[in-house]
Amino acid sequence: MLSTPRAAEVRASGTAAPLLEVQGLTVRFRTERKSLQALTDIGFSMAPGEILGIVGESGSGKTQILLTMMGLLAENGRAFGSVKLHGEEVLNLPSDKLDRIRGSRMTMIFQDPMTSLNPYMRVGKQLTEVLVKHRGVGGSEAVRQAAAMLEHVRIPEAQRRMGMYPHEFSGGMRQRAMIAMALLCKPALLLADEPTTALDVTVQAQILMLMRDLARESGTSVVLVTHDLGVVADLCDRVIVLYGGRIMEDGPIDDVFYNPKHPYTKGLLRSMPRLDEKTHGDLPTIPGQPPVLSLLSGGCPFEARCELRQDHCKSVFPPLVRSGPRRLSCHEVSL
Amino acid sequence: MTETAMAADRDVAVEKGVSQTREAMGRLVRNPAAMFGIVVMVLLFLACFLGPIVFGLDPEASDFDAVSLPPTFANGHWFGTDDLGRDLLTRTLTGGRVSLLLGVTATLVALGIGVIYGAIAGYAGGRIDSLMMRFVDVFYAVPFIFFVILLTFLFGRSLLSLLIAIGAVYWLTIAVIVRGETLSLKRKEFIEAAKAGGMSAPAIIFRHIVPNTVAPVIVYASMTVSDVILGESLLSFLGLGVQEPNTSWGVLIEDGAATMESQWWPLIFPAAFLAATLFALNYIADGLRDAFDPKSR
Amino acid sequence: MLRYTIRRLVGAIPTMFALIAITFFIMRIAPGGPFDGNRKVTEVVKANLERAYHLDDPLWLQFLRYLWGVLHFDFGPSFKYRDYTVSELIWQGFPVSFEVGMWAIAIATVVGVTLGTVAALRQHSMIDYSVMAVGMTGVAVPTFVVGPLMQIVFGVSLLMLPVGGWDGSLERKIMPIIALALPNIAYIASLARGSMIESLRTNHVRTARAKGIGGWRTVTRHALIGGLVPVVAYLGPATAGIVTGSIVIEKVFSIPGIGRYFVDAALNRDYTLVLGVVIFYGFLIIIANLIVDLCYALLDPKVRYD
Repeated sequence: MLSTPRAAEVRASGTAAPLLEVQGLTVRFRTERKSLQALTDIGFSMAPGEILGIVGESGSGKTQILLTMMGLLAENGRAFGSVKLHGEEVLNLPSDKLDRIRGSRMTMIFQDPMTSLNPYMRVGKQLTEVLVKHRGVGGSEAVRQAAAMLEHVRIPEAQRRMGMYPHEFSGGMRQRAMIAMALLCKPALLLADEPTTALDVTVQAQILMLMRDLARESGTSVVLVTHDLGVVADLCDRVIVLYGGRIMEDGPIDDVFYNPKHPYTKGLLRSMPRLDEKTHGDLPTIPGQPPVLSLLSGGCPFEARCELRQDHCKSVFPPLVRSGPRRLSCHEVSL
Repeated sequence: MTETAMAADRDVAVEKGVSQTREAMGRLVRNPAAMFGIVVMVLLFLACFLGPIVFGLDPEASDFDAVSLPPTFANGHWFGTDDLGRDLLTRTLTGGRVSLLLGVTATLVALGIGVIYGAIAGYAGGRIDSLMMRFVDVFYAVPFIFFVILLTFLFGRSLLSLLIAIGAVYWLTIAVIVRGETLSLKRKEFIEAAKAGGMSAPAIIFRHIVPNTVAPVIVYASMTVSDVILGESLLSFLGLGVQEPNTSWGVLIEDGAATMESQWWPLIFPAAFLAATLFALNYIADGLRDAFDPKSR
Repeated sequence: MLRYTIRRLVGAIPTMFALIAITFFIMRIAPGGPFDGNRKVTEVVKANLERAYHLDDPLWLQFLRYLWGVLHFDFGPSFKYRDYTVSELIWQGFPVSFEVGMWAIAIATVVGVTLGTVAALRQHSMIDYSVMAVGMTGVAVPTFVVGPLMQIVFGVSLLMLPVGGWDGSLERKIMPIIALALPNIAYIASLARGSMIESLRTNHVRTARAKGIGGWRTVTRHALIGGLVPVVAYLGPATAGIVTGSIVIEKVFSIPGIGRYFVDAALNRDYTLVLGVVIFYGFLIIIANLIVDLCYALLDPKVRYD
């Protein structure tokens, strides 16, 4: 499960032209009283066909990465840095230019399928919209393709469902419909923000497998944002661990999971209940609370809760150091 | 129920009321638009009730040498005179007395009836509630003004009759609001505690339910005042409201509209006073709404 | 859908019945019959007239007779306009009132929604503040002030439009319709602004943006429908407001609609006419509310299957 042939391929590649290159991404929000820095100096790249997981607690900034890339940043947010898709800069692009890219080359699915679909519009219409706009496909051909995609995401009676409204779908079906909508234009990159968090556990597994199969089949790269390590383990080739808006560590999935370096990653993995181990007393947790973004100093955001912390951790941010396919940001540990 | 339990019970209700209201008042005071509205209303009240007394003016004094004069500073007729030579400033102010007084008192009547009706309907629930609300529904079938007009047939058009007629209709919205609040309050634990302690229904309604509906009631009361003033002005404008020898802004506006082809001042001044009142009341109502529930913005 | 409509209509029957009963009894209890007042009639003539109008029957019988008439759209003869029945007068005045009212609502809705949407899209701009200001003004300046003001400005000072009367010409229709529409334009604009701002923040609008379908389509196809829902809900109560407003407008602009008859009837204690108009308006408002509910169901598919 953790070492798919794909993962090995990705580990070996490294030299293929990157599909996505993010450099120095910093996002700040201005509220009435102060400025919050939600993301600091985020940088990573993705190869075509790769599935990348971004893991973090709520407030770690993981969703903001996706929203910023799609140009959906809130009114009071400002993004700096660079995001290049196929070598083209897409960060802070004016919306008319961005509209040509999002929905077709780069698409996104959201956390809550209940509210993410338009309750007033038939599902079929919501699907054909993207085909009409981005591919110039008309009337019945668009309907045909959309219905085919609904079948592809394993929605039964796809043709009939096209004429139905979202409230007539179950949660899992709604998410499948969203996936269908996101894949209709055969995007190069699919961004998924906690796609299974709002679903039942059994449905979760189905949706994840669906996403994996579809992505492999079409060669679409996927960025999957989640707080659930199990989801990442199932699906991803690589993982980035995010905390307090900064990258703590990243690398190929089995490397990071079997050999975690960062104290935060270790803490996360330790706190996962495992079925294959005997239980010894209480489930270990990471002491403390996620950081208040407005109070962060210039040092390591995890410092307050870290068992290895030293004085300099509070004032100096440990640079992201690379060794092979892995990166790590910690004063006290080395790769 | 033990002494301490009852006292604690009372404290919960009273403490909720006071601290919530005090908090809200604090927010209100910091709202510039609402404070402006309050200042304007205070000025209007002072002007209308004290103005004529202080200046010793008589709204009915006709000066046939000074008929239909436009506003002039020099002769003391700052708002001009009407076609019977009566000073319009005085008439506007005394008319204001009626409009404002009727507005406030009719609202108080409406509040009295509405709060009690709504609390009883909400607390009783079931068939009594259905019946009481069906009754209310009938009155929502036509605009309120019609019922007020019908009631003036019964009671006449003296100031007291108008007060009764208006109050007898405008309690409806307040009743609906209070009933809604009562329904949600009914389920809260402190009501159950009171019931378990053997408190009688009327006691519960008056000591626990009603004080906790203070917030929405105040907001709707302020909206009702402006509705009532508007309603009375409308009736008077149509000739179906305040009658001679009394006058109100509605009557003055109607008189003014009749002469507008030659004189603008008999229309503009009372209209301006009415508009100012309604503006101020609206700012106050908005301010109260924000004060009690700042999240609703 | 049909079942829902029928259920609503049936539910309205007791309300109408109660309305008719209440108004009827108020009128009968009220002091001063139609034959008091300025007219000088001898006792004998008065007794004969009362018998002719069945005013000497027991009250309950009068009520039943009246109810029977209402079911046949017969509200009895007008007490003042001797040659006409109430139904005839209503029939005469209704098309005029209806025309003014419908145009007013239509204009108010279109203009109001447009202004509100523009304000929501350009929050904190001049347009936004103007719309909020207009919203405030509309509530505070009543129709019976706006009407005469318009007459002064456009009729007397600028001599652009005739001050009143009705002959079917456009120039006589413009001012009354706009005066009637104004308070609703103000309220609908501020309502639409609020609900559009909310709608633009919803998750499904975010999804629409993420699909890259463009700003215009996102607003019109995705945000607008949700934003319209509160406006449609308001149109029910708005009808009642238009009814009240039309009474004023018809007086101010001397328009021969039902409202004008009503005011005269109220002043003259022409009880049958007052009664007839109140019942007619009640019926009209119930129908209007029903239509609004149907429109609501058209907009929001979740409501349809109740």
